[in-house]
Amino acid sequence: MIKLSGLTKRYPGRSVTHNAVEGLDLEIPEGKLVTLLGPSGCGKTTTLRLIAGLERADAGVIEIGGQVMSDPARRVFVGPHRRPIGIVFQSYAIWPHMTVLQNVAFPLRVSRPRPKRAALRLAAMDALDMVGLAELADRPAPALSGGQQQRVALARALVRQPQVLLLDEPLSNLDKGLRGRMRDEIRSVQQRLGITTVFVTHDQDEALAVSDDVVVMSGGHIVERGLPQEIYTYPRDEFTARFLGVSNSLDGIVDTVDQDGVTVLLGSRAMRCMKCTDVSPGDRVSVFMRPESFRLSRRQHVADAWQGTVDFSIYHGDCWDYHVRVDENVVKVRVYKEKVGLAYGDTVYLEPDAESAIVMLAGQSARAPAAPLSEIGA
Amino acid sequence: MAPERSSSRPLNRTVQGGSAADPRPIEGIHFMRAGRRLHWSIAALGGLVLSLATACSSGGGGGKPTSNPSLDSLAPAALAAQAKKEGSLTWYTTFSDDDVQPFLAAFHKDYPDIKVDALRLSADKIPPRIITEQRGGKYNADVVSGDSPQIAQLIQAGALQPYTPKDLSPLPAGLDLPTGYEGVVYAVTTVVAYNPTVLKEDHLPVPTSWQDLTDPMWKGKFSIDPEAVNWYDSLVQQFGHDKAYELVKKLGDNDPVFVESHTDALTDVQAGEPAVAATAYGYKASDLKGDTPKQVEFTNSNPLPASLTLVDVVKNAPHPAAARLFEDWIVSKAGQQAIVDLTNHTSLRSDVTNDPAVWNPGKWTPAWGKPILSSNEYNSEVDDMNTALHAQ
Amino acid sequence: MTLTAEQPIVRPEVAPGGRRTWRDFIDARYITLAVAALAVAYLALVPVGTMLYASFQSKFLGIGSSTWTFHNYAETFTAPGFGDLVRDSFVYAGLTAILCTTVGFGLAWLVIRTNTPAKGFAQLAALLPLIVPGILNTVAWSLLLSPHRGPINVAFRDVGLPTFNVFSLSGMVFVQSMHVVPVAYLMGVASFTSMDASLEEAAMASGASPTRTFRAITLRMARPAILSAALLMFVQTISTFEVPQLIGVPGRRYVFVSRIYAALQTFPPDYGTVGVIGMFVMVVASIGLIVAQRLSRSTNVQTITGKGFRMHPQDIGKWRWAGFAAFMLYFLIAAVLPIAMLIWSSLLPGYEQPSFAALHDFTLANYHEIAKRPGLVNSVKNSLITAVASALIVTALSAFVAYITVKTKIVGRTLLDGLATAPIAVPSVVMGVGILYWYLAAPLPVHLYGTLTILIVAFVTITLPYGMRYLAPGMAQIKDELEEAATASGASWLQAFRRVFLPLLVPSLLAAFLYTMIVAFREISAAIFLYSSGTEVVSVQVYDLYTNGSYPVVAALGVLMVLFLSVLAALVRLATRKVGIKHA
Repeated sequence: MIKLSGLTKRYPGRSVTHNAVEGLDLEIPEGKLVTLLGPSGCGKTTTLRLIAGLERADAGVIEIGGQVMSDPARRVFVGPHRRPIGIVFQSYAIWPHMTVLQNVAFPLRVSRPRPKRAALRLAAMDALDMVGLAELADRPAPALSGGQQQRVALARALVRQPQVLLLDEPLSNLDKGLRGRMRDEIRSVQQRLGITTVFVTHDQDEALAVSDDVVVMSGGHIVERGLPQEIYTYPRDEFTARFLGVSNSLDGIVDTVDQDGVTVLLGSRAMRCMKCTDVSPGDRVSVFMRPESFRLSRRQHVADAWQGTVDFSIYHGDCWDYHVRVDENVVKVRVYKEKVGLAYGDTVYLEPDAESAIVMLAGQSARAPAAPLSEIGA
Repeated sequence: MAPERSSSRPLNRTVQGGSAADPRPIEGIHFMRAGRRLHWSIAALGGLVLSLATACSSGGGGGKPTSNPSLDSLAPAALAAQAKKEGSLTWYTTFSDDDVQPFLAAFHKDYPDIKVDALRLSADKIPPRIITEQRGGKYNADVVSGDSPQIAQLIQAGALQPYTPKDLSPLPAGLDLPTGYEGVVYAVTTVVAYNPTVLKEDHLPVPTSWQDLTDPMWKGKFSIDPEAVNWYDSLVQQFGHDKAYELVKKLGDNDPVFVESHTDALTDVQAGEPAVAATAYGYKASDLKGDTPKQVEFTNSNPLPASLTLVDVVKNAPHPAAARLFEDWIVSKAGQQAIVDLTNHTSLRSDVTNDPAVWNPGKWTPAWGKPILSSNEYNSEVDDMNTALHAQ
Repeated sequence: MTLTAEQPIVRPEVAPGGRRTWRDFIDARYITLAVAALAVAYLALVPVGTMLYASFQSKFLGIGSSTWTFHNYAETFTAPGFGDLVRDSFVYAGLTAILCTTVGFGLAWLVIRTNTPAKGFAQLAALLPLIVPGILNTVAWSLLLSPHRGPINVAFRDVGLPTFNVFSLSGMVFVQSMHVVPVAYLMGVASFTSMDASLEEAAMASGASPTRTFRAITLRMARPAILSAALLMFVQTISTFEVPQLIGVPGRRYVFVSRIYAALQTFPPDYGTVGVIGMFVMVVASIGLIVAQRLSRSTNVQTITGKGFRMHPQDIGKWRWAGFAAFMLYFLIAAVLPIAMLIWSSLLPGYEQPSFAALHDFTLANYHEIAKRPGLVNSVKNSLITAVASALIVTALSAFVAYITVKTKIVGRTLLDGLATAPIAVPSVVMGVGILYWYLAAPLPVHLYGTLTILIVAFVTITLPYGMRYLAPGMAQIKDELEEAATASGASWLQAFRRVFLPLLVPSLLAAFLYTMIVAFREISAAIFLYSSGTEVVSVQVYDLYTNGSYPVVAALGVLMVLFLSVLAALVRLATRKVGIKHA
């Protein structure tokens, strides 16, 4: 288990928020994989490096497995080499002057007491076996491909059976196909070992795919935290919503509130929305919709469908993206089934899916209280 | 091949003044306070460093060059014992590289316990080096040997100490050296050298004097070292300034090829172009004639221009006894014999036999240059030569 | 010093210690840092400072008390002949810069951007002359082109061509240019490699002829690099000793360096003039270097690695054989002829024109002669001692300085970096004289004058920037993450340093060591002022023997030097190639 409380790290001289971490409170339960998700500079990598001890916090406490690793107020700082961690860097940081086996065996060679040569090799080979690279043990490390280096880095991080595994954008240097495979592999290894893992990424798909919990970060703060599916379907913060690709935001005023949801007036149109935070009639709100949350047709099927014209279309192979002009707004719509695309200027009808519309108070800050939804939801 | 160091180079004439001949002792240097604001930051730091040297007086020796009576009066055996105690000495010399070691080997035969560090320098570099070292308070050299004009400079600058070596043979008539600075290493003669084969091919006569080379048929066909001041000076002593200048000017008008040193000149003669060298050293020409008689031949004129190479003990020599012993040995019969045998140079000792082709005062009367030229005399002769030869 | 510490010396993320001794650790490092900074500052500033001081003294190293004065400047600048001196110096260095940059960039263009054949050979041909020390190159050329006896001139005369007197300004330009072309070539390679070929293709696709493209695009793009290279060549030329002394002085063409040397060899020595001219050269050199740095900063040579580019060499048709011929010609002139001349002379008892008849006289006597002369053997020993010692010190010192400047964020690290690279702007001659003056005049407790140590001090100062040049990038390419991965694997700072950082740095260390050793071994411009009895180094001996006319022995010694330096250069190449692997 990792526990961070009031964790603060500032970089004087740089722009105030860049890479900084400001009063971070976070608990990562034993055996879970928690993703820190956010754009670059949001502080996610800094948080990871603080946990590893590669950076020193200005304030706040870091605990791993109940042991205090860092507490500047009490002048406690455990060096990274004394923390029960394994880390995989974005660049893998495979030592080019060693063989694969030497790389993996290194953490054991420097551990106290130092294992016997045979035991050391055995443990290192086990680790390599786990990532499927046993037959490459004696290759010089630079001769490996990116994916193989990645596995070596993973084996090296795990070889001394740390309490905590730290992954810093481990997939971002891989090409697309390999990325999916490695992602699955990391998750399966993690689940097999049941190791507490922090996974840093800026890629929402990655985050959603592997995590037990997703922590969205921005500007050195936690924006929100939740189960992947919650975060995806019901982001409770505008920042999260936008970051997770909820790209339509329509301004409106709350008309009525009832048990099932709310009715929002978007100009002259009324729209039913099922998900909302605390709002009351008359509030100015934003309605967030994913592009795929619309049904689009050439003919009007229901009375309250929105009529619009196609402004722009693009074909992706498995789907079409359209920009549809509805009154003054441009609505982004993604359609999967259609075989023949619509053309510029075509008239279409949109039926928004009330289930997936998210209502938030207009101008709601990115600093929404980060109640761990997963615990509530679970 | 045993080339000699080029003997004479012009002295600096732009900064020459009283100080060259200034016999005043060299005093300490005084760094003034560097308490002045300098704009350049690095310079400021440099100044900072230098202010460390504030009011430094690194003790440039001081004291007039005086003899050391206690050492000077020692009997040879006692001096040798004292020298052995000192164990080594440093010798600044114009001896050529391949002559130094055999010569020192001969010395070591007599005095095996005294190590000699030789620093070989061309003649013109000896005075500035010793002066610079002494002004910096570093007394490195014990003994110096070099061409007489450069030794004269050192004497006049007070950089040497007087010592009259034992077993000194009398100087030839017409030569005079100041008391305490009488050590002579050898004499050199300047001759006209030529390549007999080439002259024959070109149907040219054998040149017998410098006057011959002023003939238009030699135009552009002989070389001259524009810095051979010792040769020019002996012409001046022999004929007087005006006649000597006129002769050299005529040579200059005959379009000579300038060479860097007398060694270069002889190598040219060997190679056949130019086939005649007007300022070759006799000992060297004779040496090369022995090796390659078809390529090198030379003519001694009568009177024969001659100059001296001198040896002296340096002021504040760190090894004063060894220095004296070494000077004693150089002028002794053993030392002089070694010089003649190893380098073919000319000894002035009557008990040493020289190369008869080079030195026979009965046949060719030596025309001595003035050994101790004042710096004014020296500089004006250098100027004369350069003007006369159109060398600058 | 101005190195104040507001931040921990080492970024914690680089070397987290985190034990009780953390505080002590910092303090120890502060001390080491301060010592290194002081050492570097001392080395870099003292010679220049002394020179500057001497130039403003009425009687530096003189008799009686000395005062501050502008007299030396006034006198030197108004002395008759100073105008000629400046003119000759600038013409010499300027023409050399133009010639060697033209040739160097021309060859680089042929290798990088055209389909000239036999590129491997071409590269070797362009770089091989680097191995021949300047003093030997100069000696070889003064023999080859000696107005009367030089074999080239003899050959010219035989076929009725006019002879070329090397002892002239044009001779100086020629010899120096051939020697420094490889440096210009390397800069050309860097510049052309970083240039995207599609820029030229775009011009041609827009209808520009190949010549027009070359003028309007290639040359324009390379212009900052060309100017910067020319300035560097100018600075290097104006600061070195060999050619002005061995070629210029016999031809009575004095330039700054030879004038400084002459002023110190006159009697009485003219220390003030030496100081003034020294400062003058230094200012010229500094301005040149600063402008050059500005220029090269404005180009993207540094930032773009060749990787992303398509390097389609341009097909220059039949002209590629002309390109090949150009390489052959340069190779012949810059490497084959001088080295052949040295080998030839070294095998003959006395100088003889190259001919079949002379082959009968071949002998190894000159090589035996070297061993027989204690002075020569001693000089070889001295050179080895000073070169190895300097290389060791420079490698250690520059590694330390590079570590501070690259891997830490200490306040004052830029200044330290500046100090360590500043000596490159100080001409070696100024360095030599400055050091000589300092150790003669300063009231130091230890007398270094006349010792090998003073030579080592000079060599260390001169080669420090070269050490930095290898080690700063060498350290920069060891990513922090490699060390962090080690500490995160449980290695202590020391273990991470020893097992990860050091092994990865070894190739750079080795390259820096060997390269500084080469530079120190060849150095003469400063050594000529600093040697004394028993402390002669080989380069000084070569000069000495040459002026003494002992050509065969010089040649034999030269051949051995070239062989030795070739071995070192091959080792450097091996070391740097290993560094190269790390990029992959």
